[in-house]
Amino acid sequence: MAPILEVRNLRKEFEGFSLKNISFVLEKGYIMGFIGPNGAGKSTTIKLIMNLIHKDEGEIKVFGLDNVRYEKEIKERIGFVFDENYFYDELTISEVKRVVAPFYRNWDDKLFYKYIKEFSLPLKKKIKHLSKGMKMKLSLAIALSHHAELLIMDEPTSGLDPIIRSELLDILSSFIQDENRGVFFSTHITSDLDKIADYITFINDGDIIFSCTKDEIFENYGLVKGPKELLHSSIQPLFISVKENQFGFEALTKDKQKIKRILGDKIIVDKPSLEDIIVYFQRGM
Amino acid sequence: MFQLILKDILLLKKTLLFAAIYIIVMMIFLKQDSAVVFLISIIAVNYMLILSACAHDDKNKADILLNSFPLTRRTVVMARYCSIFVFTVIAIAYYLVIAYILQMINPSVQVHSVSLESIIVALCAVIFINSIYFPVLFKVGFIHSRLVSFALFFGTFALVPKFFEQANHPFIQNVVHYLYHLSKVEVMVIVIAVMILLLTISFLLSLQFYRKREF
Repeated sequence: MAPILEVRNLRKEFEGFSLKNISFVLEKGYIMGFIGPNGAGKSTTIKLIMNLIHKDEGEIKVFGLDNVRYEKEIKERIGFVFDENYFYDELTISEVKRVVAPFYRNWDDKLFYKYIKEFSLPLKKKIKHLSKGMKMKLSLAIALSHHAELLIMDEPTSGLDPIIRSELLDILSSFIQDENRGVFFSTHITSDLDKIADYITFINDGDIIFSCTKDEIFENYGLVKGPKELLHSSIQPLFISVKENQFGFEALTKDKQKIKRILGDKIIVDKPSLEDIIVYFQRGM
Repeated sequence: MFQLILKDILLLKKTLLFAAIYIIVMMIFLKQDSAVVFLISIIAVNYMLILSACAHDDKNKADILLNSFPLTRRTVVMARYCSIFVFTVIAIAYYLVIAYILQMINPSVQVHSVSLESIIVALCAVIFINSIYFPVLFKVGFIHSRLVSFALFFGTFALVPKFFEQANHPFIQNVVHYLYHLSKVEVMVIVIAVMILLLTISFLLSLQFYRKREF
């Protein structure tokens, strides 16, 4: 069975920035969090998947189909939620629905109105008068009302309060109950992913640092704390980066078992958060 | 594609109202040759609607939105070209209805009775303007193409009288002489064929530019 999303050796050059040979795979039935600092290439990758920008090299397959050749067929089966609201400000929710619904063969009016009711969205209100949370919910209602199999979300939670973010995470959890679906979710609010993501793909400066299950990350990565005198040259290469203060050091390692073997009980190894991982990688550059 | 034109019309509610007022003002205050008033009204309303529709698209970053839906870039470009005709039909309908109402209220108002020829001339003018404008729009986007649309719109008004001043130029004389010997139907067929050719070349250029654009 073909993966729901497959990116292989993708390259895109811009002036001053490039995506370098990035690859990752999302299987059906899973949520993949796509993390990285601002400017790392998250939105560029999503735009490449959506064919809003053209790749220089590589391959993108969605539902096993080439994303350019089968663009229309693929987009029938994709629901998208972008960071900014890209619906027309001057239209009401009803008007947006009137315009958008016929684009999709599988549009389900009943389902749309069910979400509108569930999200308490006012049909007669213009988009420009909706709050950021409401706009995101409208995007989500549209994304879910045509029976999308893959949700592609670019920073959907940025600028939203914790209550709406938590509601979104609940919706995604119930969406993924159908094992033929998948979610690709870029964010820099990594605490959201700690809760729901199965896979994490970390991009930094146009490079994929890792793409694996969340469990693998927490099994291997460790936040090491110890006295400064342990920081000698043979140990340093085992760390991604090190933060020192007057009491000691704190460092991120990719191989916590190895560090434990070498340094034994002179150190404490904690579980890092995804945020710690991003911060230490960024610092190590 | 119909949905994209519907989207424009929903967005242009205010502009449509303004366009009606504009035609009323033109009819009442421009007491010139009313065939010219008709032509100016149609071109101006078309210009107004096309430009506002493009401005709404630009403001709402519609290229990202529309190209994320299951629409091909060809459909997006085609819809823009079809809107030329839809907006022209709206402008002509406006003109006819407003002329009718004005004459009912005040029969002394001189109103141009719209003939097929004047509709074709108006249509040729809007096709000409937009066929040049759209490839630039699809190549560089709305913001950078505004100057071109502005120059085309006002340039058309400035150049038409100049064209008539040059009526004695041998080339124009030859063309006029040639057309003079043709029947009305033959002239219309030639004009329509030229316009279709212009639209086709313009559309293919726009499509090629738009397919290469990145958002």
